Amino acid sequence: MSPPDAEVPYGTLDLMVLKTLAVLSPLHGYGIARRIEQVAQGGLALNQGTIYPALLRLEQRGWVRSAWGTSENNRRARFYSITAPGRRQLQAEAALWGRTVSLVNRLLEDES
Amino acid sequence: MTAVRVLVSRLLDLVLRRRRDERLSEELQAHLDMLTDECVAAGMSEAEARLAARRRFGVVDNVKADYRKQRGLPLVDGLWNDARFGVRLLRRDRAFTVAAAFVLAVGIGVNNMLFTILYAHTLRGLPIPAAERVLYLTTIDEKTRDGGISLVEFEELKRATRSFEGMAAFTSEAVVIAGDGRTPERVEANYASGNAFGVLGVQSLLGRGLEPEDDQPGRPAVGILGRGVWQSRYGADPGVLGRQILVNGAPTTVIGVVRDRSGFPSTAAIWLPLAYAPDLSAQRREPRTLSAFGRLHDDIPLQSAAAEVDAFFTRLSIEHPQSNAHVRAKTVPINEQYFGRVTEPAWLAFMTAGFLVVLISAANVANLMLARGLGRTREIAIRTSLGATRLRVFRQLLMEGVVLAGLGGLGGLGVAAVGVRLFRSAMPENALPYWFDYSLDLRIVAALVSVSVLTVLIFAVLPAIQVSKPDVAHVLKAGGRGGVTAGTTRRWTTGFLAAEIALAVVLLAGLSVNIRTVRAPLPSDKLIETRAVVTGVVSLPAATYREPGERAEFYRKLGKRLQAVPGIASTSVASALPLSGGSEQRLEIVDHGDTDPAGAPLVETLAVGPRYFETLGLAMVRGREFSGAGVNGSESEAVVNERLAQQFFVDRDPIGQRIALVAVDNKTPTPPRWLTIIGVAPDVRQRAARDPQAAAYVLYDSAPSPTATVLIRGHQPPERLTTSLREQVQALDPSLAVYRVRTMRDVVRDAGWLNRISAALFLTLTAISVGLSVVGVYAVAAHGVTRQTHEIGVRLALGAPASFVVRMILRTAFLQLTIGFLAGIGCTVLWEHLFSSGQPDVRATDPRSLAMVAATLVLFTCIACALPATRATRLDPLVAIRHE
Repeated sequence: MSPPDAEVPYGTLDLMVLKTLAVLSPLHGYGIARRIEQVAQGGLALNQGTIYPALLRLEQRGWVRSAWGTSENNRRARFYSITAPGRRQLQAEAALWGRTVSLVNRLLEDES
Repeated sequence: MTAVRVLVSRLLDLVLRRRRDERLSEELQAHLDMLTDECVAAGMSEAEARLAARRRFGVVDNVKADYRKQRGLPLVDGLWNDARFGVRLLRRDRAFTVAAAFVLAVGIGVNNMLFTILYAHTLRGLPIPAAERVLYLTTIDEKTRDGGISLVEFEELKRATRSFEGMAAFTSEAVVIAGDGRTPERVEANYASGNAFGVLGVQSLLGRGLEPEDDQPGRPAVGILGRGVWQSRYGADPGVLGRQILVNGAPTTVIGVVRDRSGFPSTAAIWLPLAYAPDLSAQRREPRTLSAFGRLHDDIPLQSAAAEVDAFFTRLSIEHPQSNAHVRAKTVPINEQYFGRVTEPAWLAFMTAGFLVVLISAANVANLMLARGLGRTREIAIRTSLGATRLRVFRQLLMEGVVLAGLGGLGGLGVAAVGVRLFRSAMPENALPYWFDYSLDLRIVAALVSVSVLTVLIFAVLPAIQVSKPDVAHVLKAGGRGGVTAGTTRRWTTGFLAAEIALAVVLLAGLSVNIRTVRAPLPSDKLIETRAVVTGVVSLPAATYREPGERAEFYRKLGKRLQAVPGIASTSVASALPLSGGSEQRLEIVDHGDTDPAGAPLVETLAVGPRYFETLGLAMVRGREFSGAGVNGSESEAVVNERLAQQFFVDRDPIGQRIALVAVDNKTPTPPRWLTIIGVAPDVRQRAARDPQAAAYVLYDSAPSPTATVLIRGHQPPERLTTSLREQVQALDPSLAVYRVRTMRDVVRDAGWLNRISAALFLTLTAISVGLSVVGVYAVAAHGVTRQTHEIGVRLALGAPASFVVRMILRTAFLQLTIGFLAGIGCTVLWEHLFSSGQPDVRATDPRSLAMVAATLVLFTCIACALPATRATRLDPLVAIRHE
């Protein structure tokens, strides 16, 4: 029932990016995408390009900031890091996500 | 909070668009490169790796599009694109753009010019901080005139009220300044209480302003100069500070200079402490010679302060019934005292006229837009069939309108600037006090922008609604020619044109009234408008010329001296010059039966010296004028004008009749002094706006007022005559100054400026609106001929005579004219109802006015249709039929 290329659940990409940055700031877009793919262990079909609109959203809200830097293999890349409001947002969203998941789980268990 | 951040970021995107686009491209490229590196590291070939990278990344353009959607403001972006597209189209269609922008610029510019004038006279306010917290305080009596306040009342009021932070009083008086090595000069002085500058917040340019200490009796006399007199009299020399000058002969130290736009509602050239004001009684409650104002405490509402002042004067009316029985308080914000109200009918009519012009120009452009839209039906149909929504097409048309209105608004700013400058230059110097300020400010620009937006609503939105809904299938089938929409568009066009004509009718009807009320010229009008007569005012101070006899003696001596100067042909003196007003008195006629003095008719009364009419260059109609002064019995002689003679001596010879003149507010009745009429003078206009009234002249010696105007007629240039006048006055009394020195031509011009300006303004407005309407009729007729070329060709080919084609064109034009004319009559009735001019004898809606308007419109419509009609009749049927 769990195909290896599940779609990214709606609205969760921002949360995943934020969490990644909370652990690994600063990081460029490619690094973020790689990290999410690694954590998903192939369980997620991520179009890596989609993280850029997500990053823009987060930046516009002031949850991440970005600056040009040089990658480990000497490429010029834009590095993103999480801000203090971003960390607060992550906590809030993570808590909400946790509640949502447990609620859905309970509902599903009830039915079975 | 977050929402604001997002908005700011999006707004920044609009500005930084290009930089951020580049940043994204670079970022995505770096990402792809890294992915490719990874794949290569995993053992793929370079080409395979690149493909794999793209697969895993997703479609780059989709990412970019997603990204862009979140960036900037899509609506603003879209509007910006539409505007740029609009600019391109407008540049391609240059003739249309220039015509439309010009018409809009005229409309918006005229409107803004009128607004600037209106604003200067009503809304601008004195240039003082928080003017709305300053109240003007005065009294009104039964006649509800501004009665002023006396020093006693002012001092008591100050003590009795708690609403005011500070309360100040002032009075104006003419003084002579001298004692500085220059010729004495008569200027207006403002005697103000010591705190007046502080209460208003008047800043001094040099030195200091009045302080409360200056206004104590026994303190050394100080004065503050206005910038104007500081420059003209002292060459803007800062060394004037501390200098002693003579004010009315009293030594006074100059302590400061204030700006021209001081903020003080006064045109004074010098400010002096109130304690030095002459004739100011600290005991009596009458006369009330002061004006007062007070600044409110921060937390006091206007109404409660007014109530407090009211209560004070109510108490006075009980405590001091002799002086205050019918005297009530009047408190208004200071700006209302010195400025007109926008709600006055005259100003409303003024601004309505301004809006009529703008509406006409917008309606005109609306028709141009419709005509142009008709030519674009095919373009729009194609865009619609390719998936553009009606809203999208509408938005595009609207943005074109916004661009046009922007051009029109900019042009309008220029038109308004030129118009205001012309208006100002038609005014005599110093005709208005400084606080009627015509300079551009933010609110005037805001008004201009709002009016421009209003024009967009008319000329862009309405046509866009129409143009944006073509029946796609029909238009494409009909090969782009009008089709169904043409009929509807024609109705719209007719509507706009009729509206234009209606508005022009309102202005034309107004103009016809103006023309008909214009005064018939008098024979004396031209004669008195001359440079050969120089006039100047001399004022005899009460201190040295106490008795009427002394004053009469002075003018007699002055007359004799002037008469002896070579080059002076004749000289006289008068209480008021022609076109400079006069006083009214009641006329009683001996043997007339009617003995009720209150019922006696009012006539203009002037006191003049011997040879007054001769000096003005006027010959007596009958009899003679006053002969040499001092002749026994001449005090009981009178001269009347023709109008008086015709009005009151219909069947009798006026010469030898006896009349008496009684003051209007004659409180203590005295037996009338009977005068014998010795001559009938020609009618001379005494007021610019009115036809001459019945007037009686008495000899100056019999009632010599302290201030009189001396007239000299000579063969020399006016400058020489002026010098002689000054010299002779100085020779008689070195402390006297001659002021308001003008030739009679200047007097006439100064008096007539208001009439001249308003007539010119109204004429211009009407000419512009009628001109625009004619252009509108022409444009629509010309467009009609183009549209109907095919039909006309067929008709001509089938043998229709040229006259038929002409009739066809005229029929449409006159249909529009008739609708517009009828609507215009309706509007005119409304106009008259709203702003009745106070001239009940001439109405804009009477048959003669309407006939004039109709004739004008028919004439102009024929002119406007002439060219299109000629073109239509000259069409070659063969070419016309093939016309698509």
